[in-house]
Amino acid sequence: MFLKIVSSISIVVCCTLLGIHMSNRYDRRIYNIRVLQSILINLETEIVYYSTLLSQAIRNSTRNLEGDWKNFFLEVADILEYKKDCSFAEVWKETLQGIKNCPYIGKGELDIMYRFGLQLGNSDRLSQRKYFEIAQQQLKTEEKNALQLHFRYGKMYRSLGLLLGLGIAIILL
Amino acid sequence: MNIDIIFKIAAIGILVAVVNQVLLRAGREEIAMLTTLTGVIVVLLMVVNLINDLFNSVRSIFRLY
Repeated sequence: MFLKIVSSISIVVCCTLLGIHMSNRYDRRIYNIRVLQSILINLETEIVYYSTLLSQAIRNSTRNLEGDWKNFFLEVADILEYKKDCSFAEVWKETLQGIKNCPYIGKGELDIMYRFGLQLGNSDRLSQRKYFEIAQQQLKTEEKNALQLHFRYGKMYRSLGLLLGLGIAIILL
Repeated sequence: MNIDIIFKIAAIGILVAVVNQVLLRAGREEIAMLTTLTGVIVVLLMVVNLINDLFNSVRSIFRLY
């Protein structure tokens, strides 16, 4: 009997934690989008006003920030510095492929960043600024979508986890 | 007869109802429907032996061999 109770409690706790983990994915995605917006603002300043070298500009703009996008940008900067025979667009595409399966990054942001990366460095400063503005606007829309999803499914996953755990425990009891 | 199974079925019923409500609120009607169906199937699997016993008893009482 004691063993039964202990195993049931562990099942319920595990399922609840799983639900919380699933609902945290939405939280983390919103956080990542906000970090990405900050990185882009910093990068815009570095490129348009300071005219820093791209890899250094990326490093400067990700300073003091956290999150999955920071790792992405740092990887791009690393590859740009060590692999001299690649164009920026190639490096960008390759690194984006690597980050594609991250659960905390949505497809919308990936698409926006894909298009943004292909246009970066192709024209004069004025158009660069426009590209930054477009990316920011699109990211804002994406942030709104992510918030909506968070409100809709965040709570759902949290309660579903607990209920699923209870269900399994009752059936096995 | 074991009375525990009645409580078990009641608990499953309550749980399925709550899950159903949660899923409906989140706008996932199809999955809510699937959960209900799963609940029904699980309960049916639990009582299928008892139903078999009931039919056997009825047959033996009325001598319907």
